[in-house]
Formats: sequence, structure tokens, C-alpha cells
Amino acid sequence: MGIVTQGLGKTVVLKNGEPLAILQDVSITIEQGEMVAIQGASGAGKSTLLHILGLLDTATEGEYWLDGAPVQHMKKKEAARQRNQTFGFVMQDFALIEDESVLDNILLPVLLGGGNMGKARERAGTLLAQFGLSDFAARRVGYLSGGEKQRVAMIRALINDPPYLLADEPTGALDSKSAALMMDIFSMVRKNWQKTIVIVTHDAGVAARCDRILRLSDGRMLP
Amino acid sequence: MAADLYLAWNLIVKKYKSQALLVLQTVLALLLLMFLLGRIEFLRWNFESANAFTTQDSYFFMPYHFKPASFDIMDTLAKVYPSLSVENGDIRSLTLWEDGQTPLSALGYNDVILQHCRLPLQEGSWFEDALQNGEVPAISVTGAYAVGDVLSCTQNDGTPLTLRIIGRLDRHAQVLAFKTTGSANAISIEDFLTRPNCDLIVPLASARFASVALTGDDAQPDDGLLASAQILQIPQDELTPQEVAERLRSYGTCVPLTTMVENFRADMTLEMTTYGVLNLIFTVLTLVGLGGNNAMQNMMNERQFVIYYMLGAPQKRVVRIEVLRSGLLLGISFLFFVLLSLFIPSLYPADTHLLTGRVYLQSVGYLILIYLLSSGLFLVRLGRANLMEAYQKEWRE
Ligand SMILES: Nc1ncnc2c1ncn2[C@@H]1O[C@H](COP(=O)(O)OP(=O)(O)O)[C@@H](O)[C@H]1O
Ligand SMILES: [Mg+2]
Repeated sequence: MGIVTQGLGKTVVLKNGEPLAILQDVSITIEQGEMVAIQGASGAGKSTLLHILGLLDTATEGEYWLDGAPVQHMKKKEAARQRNQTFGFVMQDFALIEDESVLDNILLPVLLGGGNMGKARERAGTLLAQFGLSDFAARRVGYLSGGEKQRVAMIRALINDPPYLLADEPTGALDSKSAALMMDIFSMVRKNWQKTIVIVTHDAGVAARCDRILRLSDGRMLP
Repeated sequence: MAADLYLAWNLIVKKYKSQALLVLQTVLALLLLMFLLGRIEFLRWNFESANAFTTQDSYFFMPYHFKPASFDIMDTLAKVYPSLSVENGDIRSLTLWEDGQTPLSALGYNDVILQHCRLPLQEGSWFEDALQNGEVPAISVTGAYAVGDVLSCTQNDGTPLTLRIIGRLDRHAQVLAFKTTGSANAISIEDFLTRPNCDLIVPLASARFASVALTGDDAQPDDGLLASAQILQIPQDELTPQEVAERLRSYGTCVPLTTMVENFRADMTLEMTTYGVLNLIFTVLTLVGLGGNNAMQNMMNERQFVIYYMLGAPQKRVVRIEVLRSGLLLGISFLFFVLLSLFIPSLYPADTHLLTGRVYLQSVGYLILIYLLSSGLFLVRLGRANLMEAYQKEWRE
């Protein structure tokens, strides 16, 4: 179970027709319940790898097993269902809809997945309270601070109770205090709900808060 | 599907300011388009109504205002050319009283006019079948009566008269009448066609009309129509058009109907071309304005669509949401437009614009096309591009 890749690669064709290998021969294993950092410099290919793991993008080489099932030839509809049910995403720019309310943002995965909205609303209330955002449900996301936005994004990632959380530079846009709080939240989520967490970051401090660090450089894993 | 509709609706409501602008643009575009298409429709109809004229051997004759008091065209021609068969087309204004109280205005066409100008009918037939029971056949102009209706009227002198509707003109149709304005230099059929305030067309020849009902030569009709203008028929093998013009020069203006119809068609063609070009300019401007705004909205919505994708919508579904959004927006615009169109008759002079169902449909179809043109590329992109790549590029910079 967990995430297993073997010789994963991504090559894109540039506008001038030249192929460019963004990822090469990435073989990793992430066990269930682990909190893993993928660390690397800017441009190393971290985001690309995270997108492939989260079924947002597809690899051009190699293989990827998610919970033991190969995903290379997964139907788009099934991949979308998995993104909705199996993964929660936390992005550097929060990926929230700024002119909608906190609650509407949080419920979006439930709406898209056709889940029970009544139950989800209850769950959202509980999570908001847990993350210190009780009074924020009706507020527009646009008026929130960076730290608050990222906590909203975290609640949205958790609303469908997915086994995996994938985060791309989750502290990249936060001040150090909010960043520290965010990392505490990751640790808490993992401890209380046994989520498998993958955090992509260039920040050594963030990586150090994880169980294990995988290093990526120029599209390749460092030993 | 309900969720998609909700999301599409939200995309509009949450950005209502920019969307309201888009709706306003759409409604304005629809109005302008209606104006253009309505005008073209009107010209096209006119173009076709020129077909109503049998032009062979026919002349429009307009006596000079200061003519000898004794002048009579038939007498004059008969004196000079005793062998000619000259027919005198004549149109008179009549007033009848329906049920003895409601005034009805009618145009009386004599046989020559009836023969030469077969106006295109919406329903029924043009004074062909003789009616029994002493009823007078009539064509409804305004559409107030249907074929088969029987009207009992009285004439000015109180003589009773029964009319039977045998045909109905198109609601927008113009009828043949001699206008007082500009007709001295009449060179186009346009000088004949008008939309007078008239309910019926009746055959003047019907013996049932009491002579007093006819508006005589001296009695000037007050609706801008002239009774004394005439259509002459002079067989060509006896007198060529040049000769006719020559002979009648000293009495009035005489133009072959063929020439008038040709001039009219040329005028209409020119005007249709002009409006066609205007239409083209309109299209380009709308594409730039409406299409540009729509495209900008799309660009601003792209991030939101990527978020939908990330949270579990396949790309096809993202496309569907966008199609729903455009559809809803068009629907709202059309609703506003329908509300506005209740006032359209006062916005547009009905005489120069034909606002038919087809014009409405055309306008809407046209706008859908403009939306498709401005959203098409975006839809393709939403459906095919690597959305995450697009998303990343956006905030990497
Ligand atoms: N579609 C693409 N075309 C060209 N270059 C790309 C494309 N996608 C990513 N890249 C390049 O691949 C490298 C890795 O990108 P990314 O995964 O975003 O790195 P990271 O997240 O580690 O900063 C970068 O140098 C980026 O510019
Ligand atoms: Mg990155």
C-alpha cells in the first residue's frame, strides 16, 4: 500500500521542438501514515512530481502504483474521482476561490464529488472550530490573511477525509509564525487522523519537520 | 448536473459586476442587430413586393398640377390615337362604416390596378373568384380580419354593403397607393408603395359602391394619398415607350413601370449592400467588445476552473460548466431583451423595420455564434490543455 513509483519520468516538448526532461528515473516509496518531504531547489521538478503523484498530471515514462494499483492507464474520470476522494491538496497560492465564502470553498470538493452536503456542513463546522476559524465560515476568502487562507485550504483538503495529503510549498507564501503554525497543523493532522502526507519544499526547516526527506535535483532523486 | 449548474450560476453571481456588463453588452448588441436585420428584412420584403407588378406595357402617369381644367387623359389620348387601347388605373380612398358606426378606411383599386399589382398575400387569394350573394370581396391589410370574415357596412350615403374577406396581407406589407409627396418626379416603385392608414382593399369596379362613397378627384384625401395619379396601359406594338413619353410630355410625367421596378430593385440592392456592410462592421465591433470582454472573463475564470479540476472534476466536466455559464448568461441577456422588446415597437419605426420572428431568431443565433467564437478557443483549451501547467505558469512569474 502507499505510493510506489519506478523509473518515473516526464519529458515535455518545448516550443522549438526540443524535448526537455523535467523528471528522470524517479523511484520512490512512501508508506501509509508517513510524513515525507520532497526537498529540492527551485526548478528541480518538485511540483511536477507532486502533480503526477496526485493524478493532476501524467508521467511520460515509468510506473506508478497507488495503493497497489497501477495508475499509468487510468481513465480520466477515475483519476478525477481519485483526486476528489483519495487526495487532499494544499498549494503554495492556496488555490482558493477568493470571491467565495470560506464555507463554500471548503464544501467545493463535496459538491464536485456528489457527497452528502448536510453531513459535510457539519464536518466543516467541526474542522473550522478545530483550526481556530469558528467565526470565519461566512467570510469571503479574499479578506483572510495568508495563514488563515492556508488553514482554510487545509480544511478543504480534509473535508472528504482522503487518506493522502499532498502539499506544494505550503508555507511558501506565509510569514515565519504562520509557517510554524502550519507545520504544527500538518503534524497534528498526521498524528490524529493517520494521514499520509507528502510535502514538497525548498525549505530545509520545513523538510526537517518530516519523518523522512527525499532530495530532488535537476529532475533526479539524490541517493 | 445540478451541481454543475450551481457552479456555473455561481461563476456569474459572484462576479456580477463584470457579468452585468456582459449582459448589458449582449442586450445592446441584440438591439442593434435587430435594427440591422429588421431593416434588411424590410428591404428584402420590398424587393420581393416589386414582383407584384405586371410591368408589361404599363406606365405611371402623373399629370402636372397646373393642367388645363378640362384635361382628361383618356379623352386626350383617344383624340390623338383613336386606335389605342388605353387603360386607366385608378385608386380611390373610401370610408365605410362597420355596423354603421366604426369607420373603416379602404383603398379602392380599379381593375387595371388589381391586374397590375398582385400584392403578395399571407393567406387567401387575390380578387379572382367572383362572389355570389352580392358580397363585395375585400383584402384585409392590417391583419385585423381573417379570410372568410363577413363585414356588414354602410356607405356614406347609408347604403348597406356586405364585405367578405378573401385574403390577408402580411402584417408588414405595404400597399400600392399614390403618394402626394415626391410623386411628381416618380421614378421608382417606392413612390407607389406605402403603408397608409387603411384597413381594407376593395375592387373599385364593384357596382355595389354608391358613387358618393368614392372620394372624387376634387376632394383631396387627407391621408397623403392622391387619387388622380394613374397607371396607363398602352400596347407597345402601337406606341413605343419613347413615343409615349414624347406625346405625354406636355401633360405630365410618364414613366414605364419596368423602369420604375428596375430603379426600385437597384435602390434596394444598394441599400441592402450598405446594410450588409454595416452588419459586417457591427459584427467586428461586437466581436471586439462583447467577444473581448467574454474572452477576458474566461481568462479570469481559468484559475477557478483549474481548482475545479484539482478538486475532482474531469476536464470534460470543466468544459461543461463553462458551457453552462455561457448558456445561462445568454439566457439572462435574452430575458432582459424580451422584457425590453416589449418597448421595441416604440423604439423602432415599424414602417422601416420588419421585426419578424425570424429576425428575433436570427439575432439570437448570431449572438450564440459570437459567444462561440470568443469562447471556442477557451473551451478547447479547458478540454485539452495540461491545466496544471497553465496554472503553474501563472504564479511562477
Ligand atoms: N511545460 C513545460 N515546459 C517547459 N518547461 C517546463 C514545463 N513544466 C515545467 N517546466 C520546467 O521544469 C522544471 C521543473 O518545474 P517544477 O516542477 O515546477 O519545479 P519546482 O516545483 O521544483 O520549482 C522547471 O525548470 C520548469 O521551468
Ligand atoms: Mg514548484
